[in-house]
Amino acid sequence: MRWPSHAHTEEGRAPRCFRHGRRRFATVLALLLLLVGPAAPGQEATEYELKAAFLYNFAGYVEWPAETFGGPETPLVFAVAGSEELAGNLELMMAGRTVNGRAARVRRLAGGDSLAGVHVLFAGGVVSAPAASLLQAALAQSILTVTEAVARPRDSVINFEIVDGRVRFDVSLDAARRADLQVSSRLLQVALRVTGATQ
Amino acid sequence: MKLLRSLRVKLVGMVLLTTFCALIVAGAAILALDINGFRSQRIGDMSTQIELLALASAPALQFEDHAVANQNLALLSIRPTVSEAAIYDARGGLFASYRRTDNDSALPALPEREGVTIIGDEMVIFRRIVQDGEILGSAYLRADILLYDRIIGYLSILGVVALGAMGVAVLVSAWLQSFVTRPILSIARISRGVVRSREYSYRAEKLSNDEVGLLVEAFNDMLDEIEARTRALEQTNSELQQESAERKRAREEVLRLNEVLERKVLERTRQLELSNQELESFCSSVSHDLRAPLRAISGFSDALIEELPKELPGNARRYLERIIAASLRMGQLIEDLLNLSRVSRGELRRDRVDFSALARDVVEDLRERDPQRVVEVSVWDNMEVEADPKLLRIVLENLLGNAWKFTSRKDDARLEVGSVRDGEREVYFVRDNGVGFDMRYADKLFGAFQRLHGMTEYPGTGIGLATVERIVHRHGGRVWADATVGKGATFYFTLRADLSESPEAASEARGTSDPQTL
Repeated sequence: MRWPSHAHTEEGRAPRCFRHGRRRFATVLALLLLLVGPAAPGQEATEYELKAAFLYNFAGYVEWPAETFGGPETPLVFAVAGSEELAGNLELMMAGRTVNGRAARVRRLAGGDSLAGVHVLFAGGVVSAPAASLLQAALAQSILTVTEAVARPRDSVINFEIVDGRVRFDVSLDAARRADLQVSSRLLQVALRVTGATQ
Repeated sequence: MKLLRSLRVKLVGMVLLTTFCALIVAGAAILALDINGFRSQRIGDMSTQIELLALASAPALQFEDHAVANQNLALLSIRPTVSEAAIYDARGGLFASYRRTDNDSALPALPEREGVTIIGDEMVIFRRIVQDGEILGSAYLRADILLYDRIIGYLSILGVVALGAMGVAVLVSAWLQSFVTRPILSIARISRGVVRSREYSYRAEKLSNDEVGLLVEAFNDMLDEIEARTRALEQTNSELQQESAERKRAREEVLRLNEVLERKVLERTRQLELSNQELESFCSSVSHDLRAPLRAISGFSDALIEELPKELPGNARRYLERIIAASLRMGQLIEDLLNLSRVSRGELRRDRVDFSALARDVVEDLRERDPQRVVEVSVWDNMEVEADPKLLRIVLENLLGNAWKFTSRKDDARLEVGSVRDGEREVYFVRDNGVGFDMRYADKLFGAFQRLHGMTEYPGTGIGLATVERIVHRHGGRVWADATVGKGATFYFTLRADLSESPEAASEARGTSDPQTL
């Protein structure tokens, strides 16, 4: 499979994200080709591969309050708790990629680890009581919380679900509001369920 | 009126054609512009559409939500020109698709290179779906441009507009053309009237100050000129007619006068002929009647002399002899008068006559009558003439008799008869060396009873030369004399009409008797 060069795209119609610089985009594209290339077509992605990809993609549709980043160079930090598989997949996929122009990092979170500097928190498995309090704390720190099995939907902003063997997700706008996060309506469009009143 | 209507029609047609051409050009230009604008607008439209589609489909691709992608595509049903659309994932696999209900063509198996392609009246657009510098897949859209519909619609509008514009143009030009055509039509009408009626007093009305106005002025000036010339021509014509009538009248008058004159001449001629005849018959009857008493006088006088004795008393015998001589002379006189009247009458014959022989014969007669005289006579040989032989003999008897008589006192009397050629005519002459005469009396020579010499010297009646002249005139000729006193005389005559002769002579030549010579 060969992608055409983006030099063909007319300036006027170029998407907003392209306007930052074509050269950088070209390098990204080259890297992407390397990544995508080896993947054998037709080979079904595993659940955690998908979830890692989703998690990574969520960051693109969420806006954090400005003070959560120290500066333009501050990386976007993904904290993964309770799912080594997802963390691995996420690390694999984020190599050399940016989110909203920021470098992305993955931090494996053990119990008692500080949430400082974290932007996205994934809590794998069934969320236990301590984990729930962790989620509460994360929400208070404007951290996008993603879970895969939560007791109450409003405890996390996004909660993965498996519907007909496909990975889907719910979005809780209450939680997002509490975390002071702006979730793009485009994300809501593809969400399985959106709870909480829209603004 | 055919021509006049055609001028109007031409003007209106001109306006129509101009309007039509302008509409065509303007319509074509606007159509070209519109088509161009329409196409780029359509392309822009669809590009926006696919961009929106790409933007909306990015999350669906990222989160592998086919349903949402299909819903997004299904929204395209509100755009009826879109016939089909599809979303392909990053690997080129079909992710979601949309087909208009009437469309059953197959979707492209793989996304193609990004951009707009126009195939006939359709456009095909491929668009990469990119998020955060990452290609998520491709959007595909196929839509009808409906350019042909647009063109047809546009042309029908243009047609309606053109019809309307031309209708308005017809109305306006029909109204406006009268400003141009009215003066021309007026000229045309007047010129027709002038041609038909030949009345040049019409004038065209000048309605404008343009070229048509100039035309009207020129036309009117022309009519002025024609009118003036026609008038002058008519006047000349009538003058000529009058003149010719006068001339005709004058000619008729002349003819009439001529006729009157001719009639008068004929009348007079008839009267003259009548009186001539009377005169001549009187003359001949008088001569005849005179003869009888004369013969009695001379006869009884002869008898008296024979019967009376030789010796008569006194001069009786001498008286008797004188009576006899006088009566003889009178008889001669009567004879001559009868001759003179005879030569005027009867047919004039034209025979070939041996003039020389005739002259010699006459000379022979003279010698016999007077044998004791010695006269030298020379007659030229071989002279021939066409004349009446009897009359010619009388001429020669008279002329030679005169010559013989007037040479009687000469000892060496000589007579000559000959001819000379004078141009065309032959002139005959009789010459003698006798007493001659004074040329002063030459004009009296040929009158009757005119004598230049005394009776006692040379006896004669004075009628001979008158007779000669009469005969010569009857032949159409002339007679004249040349003489010197004491040296002789020469009488010339011709016997043929000559154009150089006097008119009197010519009329003589026609054979009519000349009353004035009597």
